[in-house]
Amino acid sequence: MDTGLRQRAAGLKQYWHAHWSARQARWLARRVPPVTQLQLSQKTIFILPTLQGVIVGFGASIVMVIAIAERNPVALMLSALMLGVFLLGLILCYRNLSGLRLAAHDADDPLPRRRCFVGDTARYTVSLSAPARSRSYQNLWLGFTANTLQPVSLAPGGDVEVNLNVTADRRGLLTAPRLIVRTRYPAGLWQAWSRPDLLMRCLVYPRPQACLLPPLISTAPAGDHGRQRLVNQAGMDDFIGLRDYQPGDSIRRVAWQALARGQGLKTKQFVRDAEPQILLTFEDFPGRDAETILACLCFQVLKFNRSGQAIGLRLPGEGVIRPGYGEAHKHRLLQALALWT
Amino acid sequence: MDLRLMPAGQDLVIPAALCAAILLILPALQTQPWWLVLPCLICLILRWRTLAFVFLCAAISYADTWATGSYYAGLLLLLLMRMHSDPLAGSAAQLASALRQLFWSLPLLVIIALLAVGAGWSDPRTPSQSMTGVSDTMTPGSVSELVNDGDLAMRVMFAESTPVLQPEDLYWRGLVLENFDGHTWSRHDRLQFDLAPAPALAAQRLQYRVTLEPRRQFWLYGLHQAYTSRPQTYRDERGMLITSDMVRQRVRYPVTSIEPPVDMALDGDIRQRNLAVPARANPRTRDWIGSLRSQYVDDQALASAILRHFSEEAFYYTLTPTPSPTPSPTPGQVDQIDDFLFDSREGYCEHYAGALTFMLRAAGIPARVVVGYQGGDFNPITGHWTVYQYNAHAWVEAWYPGTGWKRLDPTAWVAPDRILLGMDAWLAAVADRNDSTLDRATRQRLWLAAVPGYQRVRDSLDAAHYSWHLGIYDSEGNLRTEDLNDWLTEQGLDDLPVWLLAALLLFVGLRAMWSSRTRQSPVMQLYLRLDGRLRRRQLGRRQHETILAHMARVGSHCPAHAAQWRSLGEMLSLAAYGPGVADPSVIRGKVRGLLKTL
Repeated sequence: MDTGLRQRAAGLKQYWHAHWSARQARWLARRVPPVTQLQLSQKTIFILPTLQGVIVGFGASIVMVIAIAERNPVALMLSALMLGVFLLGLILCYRNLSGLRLAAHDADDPLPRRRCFVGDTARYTVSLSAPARSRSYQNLWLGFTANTLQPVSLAPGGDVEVNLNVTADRRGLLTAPRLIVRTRYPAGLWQAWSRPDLLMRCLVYPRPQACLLPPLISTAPAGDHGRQRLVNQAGMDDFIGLRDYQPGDSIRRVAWQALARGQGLKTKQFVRDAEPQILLTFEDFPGRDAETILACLCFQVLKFNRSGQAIGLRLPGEGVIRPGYGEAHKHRLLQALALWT
Repeated sequence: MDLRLMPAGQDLVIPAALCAAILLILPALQTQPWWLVLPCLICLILRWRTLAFVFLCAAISYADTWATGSYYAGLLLLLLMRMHSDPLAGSAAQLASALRQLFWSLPLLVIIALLAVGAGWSDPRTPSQSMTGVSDTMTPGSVSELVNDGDLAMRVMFAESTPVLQPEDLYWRGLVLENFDGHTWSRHDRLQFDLAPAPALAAQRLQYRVTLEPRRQFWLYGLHQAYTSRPQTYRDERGMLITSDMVRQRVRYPVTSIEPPVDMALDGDIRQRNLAVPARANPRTRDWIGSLRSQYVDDQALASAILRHFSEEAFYYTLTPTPSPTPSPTPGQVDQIDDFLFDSREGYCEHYAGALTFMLRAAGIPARVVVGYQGGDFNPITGHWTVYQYNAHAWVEAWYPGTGWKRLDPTAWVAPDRILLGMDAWLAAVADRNDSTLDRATRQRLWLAAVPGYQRVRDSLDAAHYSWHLGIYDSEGNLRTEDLNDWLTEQGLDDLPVWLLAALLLFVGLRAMWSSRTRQSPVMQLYLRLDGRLRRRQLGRRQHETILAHMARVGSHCPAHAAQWRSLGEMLSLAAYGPGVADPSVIRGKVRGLLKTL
């Protein structure tokens, strides 16, 4: 029982696995280059018999040899029929993929519209369409890994959108792995598959981590370091706009004029002038590593945004994002956090 | 509960498989291997597709008529339905897909069949000699070309009480050839079966078991007058063992041999048949026999005079006789035996046997040619005799009044070495003289035989092979599994295996049918049935659609009853997923009412 040897063997196996998959990826990148839209064809479809197919093909050949040796025309015809079914399976299986059109859903935006936090599932949408009016696609399986394939079928000329999920494990721009499109139609004797890369991306925000702002600083007046409070000296609540009414809003804040104009139930939003505007920086969380600080900043952005406070952000090496409100501003801040390097 | 877990509708394969089992009772299918078809059907029902395919493959080689062929094509259709890539598809979709595949594979089938036909595999007119071994006709050269065939012909194990035998005692009779057209000796086709058992009191009984290699023939081999208890094997009056099933596999059969009976009257027909010679053929031989007959009145004396003539005159025993000067396209015109006796004087056993039989017949002595094997190699390890194809031989039997049929072997007079020392020794001597007709494998075998110790290795290998076959077969030559079969037959339970398999099939089939129906709650069954009816009107449930959404969509198609459809959907989903137990009869009534409005 030489555990050292076993470890070394495991290491070697891992090395080979990594080496092999890297080789495969390089080969695939040449063979099926990443594009946002792809129509499957000879160059991009691979086909091999399944284990069952190997058994059927081999068995039919054996029966044929026996039939020839025994000079049994009935058995010869039957084995030829089985062999014919096996060979036909190759064509039908290939046809069940060829011509299928795959497209990433929002491929044209410079930054993906898909957003999520680290640890959530990043969702990608692939649209499949059958170009020919006469050709249907049955029993397709679509997914990112062999274990998480989803069944899809397409009527002639139809199209279908499939949502595929991947767990986001790091912040930043997450590129989806290569897709697996697979079919074993019609009898499971052959498996045709393709590995298109549709350049699908998702922006992953840091995972919010609950943390407190240092209390000393939170009450301290503005300074050159730490969180700054930009105090508006007017001393009045400033009306900054309307937003949709949400249950729980004070009835005094309801914009009755807007309701009278037929704009629906709206809530007036004010900025309390006395309320400070907040500029979040890295220096608020000293003694932590950058990723943790980003997670804490994310939490603070979400918290202040929910409570309707104006927040800005200054990241090391980048410009200052002026304090602001609203969903778009929140995403702007989170995007800056996600993409900070 | 995920609706996709259940196949839509009834599973058609199960009743079809049960029907296929019942079809086996039909007379046209009774020859088919039920022990393969029934397991195949069971596997089909249980969705063990690969195993079902293997059973089907094994059964297909038994297909002999087009009726059985179409039966297996039907089984293939069921298998294809089971192999459908979407196991949850309805039976109709599976059937359509399977039929489509079979239809489109027909062109491929035609191509493959054309290739096979083009290869001429089915032409029965060109069987190679090496496949047939000893054939049922004898022409000059038909035996001598087997000399290069080193394949095994048979192995023989004698009973323990048998006296020591010498190779010269072993004449393995195969066929008796009585018809002669001047060129070819052939069988008289009419068989006269002798169904009597071996005489119990005969002296000199030999008991042994023959393991015969398959040569696609209808006869077996034995010594002297052979009797066998092998089923479907009959004994002809001439002593041939004829079997009604072609020897396609190695067979093993017990034989009891006795010396030919002494006081045997010769039937008029048989006498005439064994005296017939082609008219006007071989005049020189006839003249010579006529003059010899005047010297010897006694039949036996005449026969031994002829044999002495062979040994005293300059006759040569050779594999390559000088070819006859004018091989005529019409046999019978050439005086082949004249050429042999007076001109070439060279020949192999078939030349001598043919000439001797002709001469005896010309002299009025009934005579016939016997083909088979002579001699063999004794294996000291297991104590059996091994006979190879090159031991093929032809000899003569002559009938003397008061004595019966007697064996005469001209080869023993011309080339006594071949009979006494064995084929290998004689071949080794031939190989020294002229090795032109011996092929490479034969020469290699002869060369190896001279190597000390080789014979021992060969014997050991042969003994190992033979022991292996002994292990597989029981003493009666049946496969060992048939011991159980015999025991069952003794108990009067011949059909027990088929009944057990049929019962298993029925059990599996009914269970599968029952469970596919009852695995759903009654309400869900109701909904699935409704879904089936709606599907016919293009209103079936779509993928990922809830019951509620489905019913609402159906309602939108018939606005007059939209509210009722919606409430049905609520009732259904509440009954299916809600906490309480619902009464299906209420829902059933509602479903019926709504279906009428469609």
